[in-house]
Parts: sequence; C-alpha cells; structure tokens
Amino acid sequence: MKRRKFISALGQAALLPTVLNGFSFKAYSASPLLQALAAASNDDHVLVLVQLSGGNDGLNTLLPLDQYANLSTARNNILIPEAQALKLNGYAATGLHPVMTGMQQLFNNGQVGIVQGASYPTPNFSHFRATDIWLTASDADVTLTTGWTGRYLDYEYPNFPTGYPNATMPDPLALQIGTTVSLALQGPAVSMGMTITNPTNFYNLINGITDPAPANNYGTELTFIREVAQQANAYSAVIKTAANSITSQSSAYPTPGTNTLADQLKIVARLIAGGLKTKIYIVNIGTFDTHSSQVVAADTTTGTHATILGKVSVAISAFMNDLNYLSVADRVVGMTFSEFGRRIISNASLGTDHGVGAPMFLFGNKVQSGILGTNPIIPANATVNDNVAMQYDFRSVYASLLNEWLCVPQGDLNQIMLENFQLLPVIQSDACTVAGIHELNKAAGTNLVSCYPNPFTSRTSVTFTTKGGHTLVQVFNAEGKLMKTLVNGDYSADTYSTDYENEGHASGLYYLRLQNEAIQQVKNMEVVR
Amino acid sequence: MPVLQALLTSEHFYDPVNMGCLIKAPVDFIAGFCRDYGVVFPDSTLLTNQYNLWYQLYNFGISMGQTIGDPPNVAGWPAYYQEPQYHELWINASTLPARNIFSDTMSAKGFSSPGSKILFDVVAYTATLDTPSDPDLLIQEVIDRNYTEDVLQDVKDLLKGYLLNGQIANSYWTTAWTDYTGDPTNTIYYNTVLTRLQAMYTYLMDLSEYQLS
Repeated sequence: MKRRKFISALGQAALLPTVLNGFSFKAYSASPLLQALAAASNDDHVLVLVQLSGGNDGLNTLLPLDQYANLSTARNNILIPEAQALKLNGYAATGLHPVMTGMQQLFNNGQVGIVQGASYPTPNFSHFRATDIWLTASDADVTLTTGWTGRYLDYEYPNFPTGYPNATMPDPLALQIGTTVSLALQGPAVSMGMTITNPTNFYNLINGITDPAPANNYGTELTFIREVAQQANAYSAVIKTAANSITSQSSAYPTPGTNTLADQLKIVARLIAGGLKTKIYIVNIGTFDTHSSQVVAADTTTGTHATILGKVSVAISAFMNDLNYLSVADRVVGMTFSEFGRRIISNASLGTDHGVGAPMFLFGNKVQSGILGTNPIIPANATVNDNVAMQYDFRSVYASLLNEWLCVPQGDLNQIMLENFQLLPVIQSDACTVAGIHELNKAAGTNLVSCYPNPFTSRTSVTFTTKGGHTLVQVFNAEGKLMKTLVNGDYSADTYSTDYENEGHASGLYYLRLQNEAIQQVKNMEVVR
Repeated sequence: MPVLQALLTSEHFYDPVNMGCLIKAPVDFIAGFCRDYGVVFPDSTLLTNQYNLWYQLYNFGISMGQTIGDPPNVAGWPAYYQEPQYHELWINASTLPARNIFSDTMSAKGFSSPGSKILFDVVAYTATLDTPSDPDLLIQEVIDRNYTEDVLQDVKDLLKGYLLNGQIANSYWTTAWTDYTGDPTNTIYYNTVLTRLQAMYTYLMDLSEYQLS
C-alpha cells in the first residue's frame, strides 16, 4: 500500500512540468520560472537515431586538414580540395565536406557534437554482421538477439506489452520509419517499437486510406481486413491525434520525394511536437557503400557520396529548424551512425572499401558541442590495409546518451550495455534533474513476474501471476541461453511465489521470463557476487 | 452426392472471380500455418510437452474467436452461416491482433515447454525454396506459396529491404546466404540470415493478404 501511494504521489509531481509544457509555451516563455520548470522535465527527452546504411567514408565527411600531405598520397583521386573544406569554429585543423553547409551552420551555432574514430575492438568488415554489432552493441565475437534500445526500453518499461498502452505511457515506446533496423528495437521478449514502413504508409494511416486492391471479391475482402487492421493498431489513434494537431511545419524541408531522410525526419518532428511521449525514433538513409564512383573524377566534391551527404546535411538542418519552429528543440537529441568507416587508401574505381573508424555526429540544442578526439593520423605511405584507428568505442557514446540524455543512473547502465563503458561528455550537464520518473515508468502496465531482492547474490524470491492454464517461468542469461526452468505446469488463476537459487553462475544480467499462453513478460534480474 | 458433384464441377466453382476471397477461420489459420511451415511437435514419448503445446494452439484459437469442441450453439460458429457478413465475422480489432501475435511469435521465439519447442524455422523453410540465394526469386516464391494473388511491387521492394539491410544490390543477401550455406554451423552466419528472414516473414504474415485463403 505504501509503495503504491508513493508512486501515485510521484505521478503528480512528475506530471506537473508536462502539463506546463502542454500550455502555450511561447506565451509564457518570458517567465524564467516556467522556463526552468519546463527545462527540468526530463521525461520528455527524445532520442533520434539516424542510420547511414552502407558504411560512411568518414575521411571525406570530416576532413583532417592537418593530414592532407599524406592524405593526398593515399586518396588523391577522391580527395576533397583543401580550399573547399567548410570551416568549423574553434577547430581550424578540421573541416566538413563542402556539401554539408547545413551541418556547418549547426556546428558553428553550438548544436553539433562530433565523436572522432568511433568503432570497437576487432572490427568486422561484413555489412550485415557489422550492422548487427552496432544495433545490438555486442562485442565482435558475441551474437546478441536483443538491440541496445530494446534493452533500454525494457529496462525503462519492464511490464511492456502487458497492460499497454496506459496512462503513464499512452504512446508507442519507439517508432521506426523504414525497414532496415528492426534488431535495434528487439527487447528480450518482444519488439519494443512500432514500425511505419514508409512515409506513404504514415500518411495513409493518418488519413485513413488503404492501399489499392484488385477490383474483385479478393480485393473486397482484402480492403475489409486492411480497414480493420488500421483500426486494430493500438497506437493508430494516438498517432493520428498527434499528427493532426500539427497543421504547419517549417518551410526548410526539401520537396517531398527528393530526400528520403528529410521526409522521415519531418514525420518525426510532427509526432514529437504533436505530443507523443515516444522516447526513441529510428530513421535511415542508404547507400553509403561507395566502392566505386564515390566521386566524379572531374570534380571530387560531386558524385554519389556528395549527393547523399548533402541529403543528410539538408535533412538534419531542416529538422532542427522545424523543431525550433515547433518549440520542441530542447527535447530532442539526434545521433548518426554507420556500420563502419572506409579505408584510408582509395581504389582505382574512384571509390573506397570497407574500413573501421568514422566520426559520429550528435545534434540538438542540448548536446555538448565541439569535437571529441583528434584528427586520425594518416601514415606517410598508407597501404591497402591501413584503417582509421578507433579512438572511442561506439558503445561509450550509447552509454553516455543513456546516462546523460535518457537519464539512466550510472549504476543501472550495465543492465542495458552489459559491460562497463567509459562515459563521455556528450550532453550538457543540466539535462537530467528530475528524480522518480523511472519508478513511475517501471510501475506502468501490469506486473506479472518479478523477484525480490534484485540484485541478489545467491537466492531471490520470484513472484508470478497467471491467468490460469499452462504457466512457465524460466531464467535466461543475457545471450538468451536457458539457465533454469522454475515453473512448468497447469495453474489456476492466482499469484504464486517460488525461490530461485543461483547455482554459481557469474555476476551479470539475467532475464526472468513468464510464458502464460499468449502472454510473455520478461524482467531483468541482476546477480552480484 | 449429385449436389456436390454438380457444385464441384460447375463453371462457377472455378471462376477466378471467386478465388482467394475467403477469410481463413482460426483453425484454418493455425493448422494451416503449422502445416505450411512444417512446424514439428514433440512426439508421444514427450506426452506432457505435446499436450502443453497443443494446448497453446487451442488457446490461440480461443483468442481468435474459435474454441474447438465448444461452438456457441448447435449451428456452429456464426461466421459459417450468419448473413450478410459470414466469414468477415472472424476479423475484428481483437481477433486480428491475436492472429498477428501468433504468426509473429511462431516466426521468432516460438512456444516452449521445457525440452521442446514449436516454431516456424525460417532458415530451414527458406532452404527448401528453389533459389534462396536470389532475394527476388526468394520473395516471389514465398508470395506464390502463401498468397492467392500477387502483390504490388512496392510490397516486394519492402520485403527485399529486410533482406538487403536497406542496401540496393541483391549481392548483399546472396553473400549472406552463401556464407551461411557454406558453413552452416557458424553462429554468426546463421544469426545474420536468421534475423533478416524473421523480420521478412513476420512482415509478410502481418499483411492483410495472409488472412485470405
């Protein structure tokens, strides 16, 4: 009883700033008190992940101007002329690709942070495997079946999907636009996100339109099922409401259909401003796999890579402009990533092959602006096997965003990242100030299985609730291996408890899984020895 | 018999206008899924597990609106006789998600009873296709096997997006598949094709087309 009261009291305290945000923010923005209250609400932080599929050539994106002597030997046929590099305030030795004027402006406004040489030990050069490593945040020699944002959302909302949507979290936990990154959102039991396959699909959803069907009996039934499917989506109503509450967006976006990333980010801005409490958005753009014709020989500032980098820059700067126009810019931080960088040395087809380290870009009003790390060192006689060295583990960037932007306490990071990673200053220090939000999110939905104490050393008491029928409670390790079956049989509807004895297994994260007919729920349990 | 003979040999019975327009009943949906994808159940040496897993399917039938052995009245289920909606009565905002949850779960983790598991083994199934290394042919064959009519090119492109990881060249998938078939015990190769196929099949079966037979 006491715990319940505590949580409901927290609920009201935590709701207050959100309500204030809901009022016409602009009219009150002159009041320092209200500004402070609004800034203090850290439950409305949003993280936008921008995936650059194919492996982005970091050396032609962020130009190491102090390495040009050696760089011009290594990649003379694709090198961007030094004079055309875009200048970055305070970093005379580093420049941007000439098409990235939007990013340059954001950087010089203090809205971009760059992490040099992001990679991981023993890098993999296969697109698919490297992508999976970036999405799951695993070590190079470990395959994980859960994604890093999926583990974060499972930590934050452990009861999901049982009892969702609910008053605490009425909206999708995560939204992905496009099809390529579903693994990032995979939680231990279910996918933690909702997918909107493409912008057309989104506009069909908010306008209640279904795809064209053949004009026969098959088509008639197909349309009938599609209409039910739209209504049946637990989140279609909230998405419609959020989208329809925004009637005007920034004019900075390019013409729809000309820049897929801009089209996706425009939807994201609309949903954020429309009031969705969704924490994570994932968008993507290809095709960075520039083995050939990365540049045009006559003018190396043009070509495939220039075209896509230009799209990325235009899309992000329009998005930031729009967030500002919609008065939600302080709530949003974005991050770009790609499965690998490319070789130092270029090939004879005006392209580059799969490499290692590359810069990650963070953007938003609250990012710590500037460049972390130094320009990569380019050897005097680079060979085909020379790569941009790792300076930061990309998982350090993830851990830092979780800690500094999504406000996960440092002591809980291991439950999501599975190992300790160095924290980097990527977000301004005042971003996480309100306590108690995690407790509230943890209680949302219906709790069906839990253990106490947790963390524990040798023994914990497991409590589970079944609606009757076959009930299974199991313990898995973080890699998904079954460690023990605690309960397996027919039960009548009730709440039961049983003990779990840790038989000498190592410290770390384990999962407690309940399966009761169609229901599955998975909770984190931590062994500390 | 003469009535059936007249019906089954009539021109009307074979009219393309009437093909593929029946919504699967829950039992068709579940049993059809298990047969189409060769789901393997524990044999009678593991009676408890066999029973538990059958029971899971029985419960899914309930969540889709059909309790086997217990029709709502002597006439059976309304979807078989109630005009004007008939089979459309199977599909509503509660039963359609239950169908999606079933196909999603079976294509990923499956259902387990300790020591046994039932699931749609997407990698093994894909290996039975004619040309699994070619993403276009793979997708076309899966569509031909599962849907009564072809789908728009947009849908095929989307399905291919899952296999190619958002890239455009078919070779990305071909390499992943031949890596796996060349060294099937390599868990990294296996997981690479597994996660992409799971996402592709899950999407395919969440499409409304999959509800029609």
